[in-house]
Amino acid sequence: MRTSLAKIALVAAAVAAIASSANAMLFSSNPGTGGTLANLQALDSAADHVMARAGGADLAQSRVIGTTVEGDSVSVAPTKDGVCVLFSTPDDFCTPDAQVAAGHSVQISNDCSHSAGPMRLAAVLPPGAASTILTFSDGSTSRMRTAHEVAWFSGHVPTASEPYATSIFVADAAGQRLTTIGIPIGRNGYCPGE
Amino acid sequence: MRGGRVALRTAARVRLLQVLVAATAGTASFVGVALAYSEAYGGYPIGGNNSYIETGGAHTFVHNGGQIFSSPGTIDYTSYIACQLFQKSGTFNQVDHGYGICGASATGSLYTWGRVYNQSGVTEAVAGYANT
Repeated sequence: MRTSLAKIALVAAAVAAIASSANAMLFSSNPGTGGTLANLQALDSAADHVMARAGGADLAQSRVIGTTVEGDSVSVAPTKDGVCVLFSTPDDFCTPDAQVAAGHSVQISNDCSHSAGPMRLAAVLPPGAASTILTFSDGSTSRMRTAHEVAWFSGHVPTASEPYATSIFVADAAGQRLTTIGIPIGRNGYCPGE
Repeated sequence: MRGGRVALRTAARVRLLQVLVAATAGTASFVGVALAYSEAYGGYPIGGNNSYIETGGAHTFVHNGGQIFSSPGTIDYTSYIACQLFQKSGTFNQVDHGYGICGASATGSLYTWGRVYNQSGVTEAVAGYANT
């Protein structure tokens, strides 16, 4: 009996090792993915704030900075080189300071299960940012909630006849323009598989 | 004669190993009989106008993460990608977009597929990782 259990354990270990090797081979044989598996496995958790944890957020230092229109809390947590934005829904994201400086700090989360599904757009802003205005493709605008150099907006996925967000106008406390951040996707980018 | 039997036995073992590898590729963890499942997929260049990589099948995924690379091992934080968890026959369909890295989540109670889209506009290597 003991021998059988030992054999089963050995086979299980061997199978796990084979699976692990198969994955390693998959990734080592493809270009552009050195270290990928290790990085992605950092996301291997069903725990809350999985993206923030993977991004190195110091959750003990997190603080609530506001709420969304839907009533979800919005928090920030520092990382060693930037900040993570945390929502009460599992749509966190982290942005290094260098990305913010380059204007690459926009994160979008949307529901494609039906037409005009809910969409949330958020961005980490440069130092000194105090207010933001979201501009749409038809020139219309909408004020974004802004606090602690983070902006967020709740809307819906644009339909074929509706304008879509194109940029975020960022101003300082005096209302002077600091920068304009482009939205990297157009109307068809929200639900790309359709 | 004996050499032939040994060869046959060896061939059978190799075949068994192949079956095990095929059965477990993409399945990295075994915990008792309640199997956790994870799958690494993609890892090669795809077009930048919403081309995508996809999991090998549907599973009760709770998370699907993706990354895009400018060179081997270097995440391209200037490129936009999207991670999707969705049902091909059903209504759940969540998409999360970000620069360099993205992640979409589900409850794990539904059988979903995972995809990662390249939305950068240029061909780059994209990798995905989904887990239950």
